[in-house]
Order: sequence, then structure tokens, then C-alpha cells
Amino acid sequence: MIGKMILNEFNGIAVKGIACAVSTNWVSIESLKNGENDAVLDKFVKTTSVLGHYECGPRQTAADLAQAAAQRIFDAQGIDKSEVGVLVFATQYPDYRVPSTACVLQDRLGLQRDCMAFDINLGCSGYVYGLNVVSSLMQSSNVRYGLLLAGDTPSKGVRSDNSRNLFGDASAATLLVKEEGASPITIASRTDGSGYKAILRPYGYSKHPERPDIEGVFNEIDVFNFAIDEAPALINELLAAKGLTPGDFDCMALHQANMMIMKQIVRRTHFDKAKMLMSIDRFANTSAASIPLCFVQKYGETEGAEIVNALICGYGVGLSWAAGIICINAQDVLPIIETDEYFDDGLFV
Amino acid sequence: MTNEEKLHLLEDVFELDENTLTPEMVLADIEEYDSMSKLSLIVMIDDECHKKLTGEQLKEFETIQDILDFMG
Repeated sequence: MIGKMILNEFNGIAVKGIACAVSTNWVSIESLKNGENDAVLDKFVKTTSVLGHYECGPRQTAADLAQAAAQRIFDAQGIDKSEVGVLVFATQYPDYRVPSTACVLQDRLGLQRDCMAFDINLGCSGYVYGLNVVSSLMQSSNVRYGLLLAGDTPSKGVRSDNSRNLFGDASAATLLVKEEGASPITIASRTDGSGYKAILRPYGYSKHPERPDIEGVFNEIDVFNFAIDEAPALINELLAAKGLTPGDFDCMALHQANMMIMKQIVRRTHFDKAKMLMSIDRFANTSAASIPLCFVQKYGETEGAEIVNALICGYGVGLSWAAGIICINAQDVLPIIETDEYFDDGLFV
Repeated sequence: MTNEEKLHLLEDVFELDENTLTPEMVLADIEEYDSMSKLSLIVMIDDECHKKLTGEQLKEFETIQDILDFMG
């Protein structure tokens, strides 16, 4: 079914801070070589551009990383936490079956009870969808600050060697604020549930409670075809709808699926390759955290003010995809956080 | 496109030396025909032949000749 492209537009909402956190445990591809797999791993690096990934400790979760990232923004911006009225956590690795991890984080972050908090179960498109949801709730309410958390810990799932190397653990926090005169945020979104089996972890939940030790499905070819067709098509439609061209942007932050996909998207949207940001090299594919990690990699150490017009696009599991136009100030992007801290809920045995 | 030109394109995709592929070669015996080179193959066929290579179609390929036929 082809309909009208959905466009969400927000005026008067600005990105006030971006921070990302990972564990202290970086696993390099080089360190996995054993003499027999060297050629396979070399080819893996060449085609994906992944040099390694971060893995959480056994008790550390995406929520712990998200909390560290959010706290760093609060500290850096010195904002009044009592004015944070929206907390959304885009994750596919929640701490518990129930409740929403965002509810627990509302308390852990010391936010007021006058706060909406819930999770969004989306992966690679989760950051762009999350920005849309948080901005929508802010625009229609009296809330001053909204907090988007986005992160996953694929290392917690059952994995083959290949998926272990391709995916990394990370979480991001993005603070949004109502601000008069802020550059507009524009987001276009799509879903194609007919492709749900391309990336599927069916076991251990309600429909198939059995066999939780099976990894699930990742149909690389179907995902590739989807990504290189649909992501550029949506970006091109979004730019056309807004009367913009690639030359109007300072950078392009794509979901970091693998280098071959990203190169095709850049090519098919006619962006200058030099504008494509990267986080896949150091962090691998970090699902919903991959786009903010691109900003942290590029601008995390920037000190002066620098206005950055960015085109962002997340695409993947669902199948779900969304593209957005946002404006950030490089000095609001904080350096990467490495931490081993985790929350003790009193239930560890 | 001649068969020879198509073979050269495939040699590029699989990162093989020129004139190493022949139509009767069985894909399962070609070490370089792995998951990553399948992705390169999709891009090449899209660029050069303006055809969409699906996962289903890929599974049906048994020999280099099958790919040449698909390329048209």
C-alpha cells in the first residue's frame, strides 16, 4: 500500500544535549584472530568497516548506559530536572519483561512524578522515531524538557560469530527543550510489516515461549535490499518535500548498519561522501544508538559553538524506517562516556 | 553486454583475477562467493543491468551461467 508520506514538523523545539555511553570493555576484531580465521576477519573489516565493539558486563544493561548518558547531560547543562516531563526509552533490550524500563529510569534519574515515561520497542529506526514521539508530546503539552534515551545491548542475545562481531552495546541520551526561534525539526516515517521476518527473534516470549536459546533470524540479503532501496527513497522524498538539497546539510548521520549499505545510501541520495559521519568503525552496529554515536564521534570533543544541520536516517527491524532533519550545536554534544557502573535492584542472586 | 564483459564484472565483484571464472563453474565451489560478495553482486547487477536481485533469486543460482543468464 502506497499512501501519502507522513511528515511531522516541530517549531520551537531544540536539541539541547547529546551524550552516549558504552562499557569499558572494547573487543577488537584484531584480538579475535586465531590463525585460522584471519582471512575471514580481514574481509569482515574491509566490507563492514567495523574494527571492534563494546560489550557490557554481565550485570550492566542498556538502561545503565542510558542513565549514565542522561546524567552527564544534566550535569553539563545544569538544567532543572524537575522540568523534564517526557522520558522515552527506545530499546529492544529492556531490563524486564514488565514494566517499561523508562518508568524505572524516571526514578533512578530523580525525575519528578509529573513525567510521562515509556519504552518504544524499535531498533535501528528507534532514534528517529523517538525524536518524533518526544517532540510531539512536548509540542502538545506544557512540558519544557523532554529526554530521549536510545540503546541496546545485543551482546545479551544468543549470537553467531558474525553477529557478535557486527553488533555492539551502547546507549544514547538526547535532551530536547522548548526554545523560541529554534530551527525546525522535520521527520518522515514509514513501516512495512510484511517484511517482519527479515529480522526476527521469535522465541522466549508469548507466541513461542519455547527454545529461548535460538538466535532468531537475520536475513542479510532481504535487509540489504530493503535498506538500499527504501532509505534513500525516503530521504529523497523528504528533501523534495522541503525543497532542500544535499548541499543544504553539514552532515549526514545514517544508522550504521554496515559500510556497504551506508555507501549505497550516500550514493543514491547524491550526498557528498565527506559529509557522512561514522561510528561503525569503533562501535560496530549499535542499533538505536548509532546515529547519536555518529555525532559524539564527530563533535564530542568540539568546544566552541558550531551550528550543524544534519540529515538523519534510521532503518531496519520492523521493517521500520524514518528520516529527519535536525539542527544541533556541536558544543552540546558531549564526549563519549565509558563506564562499568550498573544499577543494583536488590534482586541479584 | 557480452559474456566476457559479464564475467569480468563478476570477477571484480568476487575480487578474483581476470579470466579466472568460467560459465560452468559451480558457485558452491567458489570460496569468494560468500555473504558479503552476494551484497556486492546485488549492487553490481542493479548498476549494470538495472535489475533487482532478491534473496529468493540468489538461492536459485547454482552456477556462474545462472548469474550470466539473470544478467541478461
